[in-house]
Amino acid sequence: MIRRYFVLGGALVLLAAVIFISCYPGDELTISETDTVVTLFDKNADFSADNTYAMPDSVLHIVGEGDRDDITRAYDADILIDIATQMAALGYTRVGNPATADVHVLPAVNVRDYTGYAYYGGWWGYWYGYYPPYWGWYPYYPGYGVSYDYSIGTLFILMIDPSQPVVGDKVPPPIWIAGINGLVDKSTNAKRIENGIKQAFAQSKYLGEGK
Amino acid sequence: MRHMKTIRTLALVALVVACTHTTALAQDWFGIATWNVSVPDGDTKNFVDETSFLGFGLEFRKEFRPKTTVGILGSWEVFHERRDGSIDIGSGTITGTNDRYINSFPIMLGLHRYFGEAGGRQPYIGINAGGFVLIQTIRVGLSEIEDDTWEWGAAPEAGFIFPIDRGSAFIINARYNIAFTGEDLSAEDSKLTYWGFHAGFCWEAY
Repeated sequence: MIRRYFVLGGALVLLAAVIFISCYPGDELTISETDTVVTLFDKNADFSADNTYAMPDSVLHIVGEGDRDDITRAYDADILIDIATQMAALGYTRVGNPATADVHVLPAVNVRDYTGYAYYGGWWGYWYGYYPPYWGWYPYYPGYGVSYDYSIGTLFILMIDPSQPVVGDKVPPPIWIAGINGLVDKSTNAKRIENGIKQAFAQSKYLGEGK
Repeated sequence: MRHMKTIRTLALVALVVACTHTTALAQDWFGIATWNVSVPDGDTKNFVDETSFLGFGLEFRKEFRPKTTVGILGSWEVFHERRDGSIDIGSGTITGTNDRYINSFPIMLGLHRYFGEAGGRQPYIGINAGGFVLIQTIRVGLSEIEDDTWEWGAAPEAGFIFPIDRGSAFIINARYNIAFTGEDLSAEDSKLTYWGFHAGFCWEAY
């Protein structure tokens, strides 16, 4: 009798453990849920003194030394327009001559490619009685693997104060930086980039102080 | 989440080993296996404000004096909450879907006192002392920050044992888990505190 309860107890624990382990939460994300907007600012910067900015007419592509630049330029125009719109909304005026601008705004893009491999183990009788053609004991269902590729893109927006001294060959650190990061997906990139830029400025209201 | 797969596998192996060994130890000890529901409180609630239904525990107790047992317990509770919104990080802000996790592994020694009639319902109270292996994780988008620590703590407890048959019983109990030390992911003081409500199966030998 006692042994029976040991077995019952053990079986219940194992069942609970298997359910528990298979139910670990939060491992699934949609593409848009991978989007992250990070903004950082220099606590000593006085943004209220900055009223004009200069921005290049192109987006810098960050690629490794010797690597081919295969990052698409399809979104460059939208990125520049979206940044200009947000800067104007904060009260900044764009100027053509960087030498006369209070700050320089530099957009840059980086894309990293990744490859993964997922392996599914074999199951005995997994399809047993599930589909009519497989009534009875279905033979060993072999394990299989699948490889997958994905790319993570990041748009950086740097705001640099050109009045800060250049020491040696060290460029002064940005007084504000935004990083908009997420999985690359051609069908949703444009809207997600626009939303990311809006969010970056929305969470950086201090940029508009005094204007 | 880098340790999670290893921990899941180890937990399953530990359970199999624990259940196997219990048969040999059953003449001296009684074992308790429970499903654990946990409700965050205090600082823990600030980080994850969701009740956890993912938890299980294993405990072994030995009567060393009449109606008094000493024991050892181990359990695993997983708290998780997904939030959308912004997190202020002092010199900046992070916005995105953020998954917050607390994996708590209490490992404690316990002392329990029982009040019921022999063979009948057994209300009991007890105190457990030891600590927690604490894994705090926040994942925002594709980035993740994790902190693994050991925190000293205690867990006062009260419960009931309901005999089913000779050598077996149902058990329910409640425990208040308190860590005496701890920091959150931004290195601010933060103590792990949560209620644990447990229901399970108890097997013993006379």
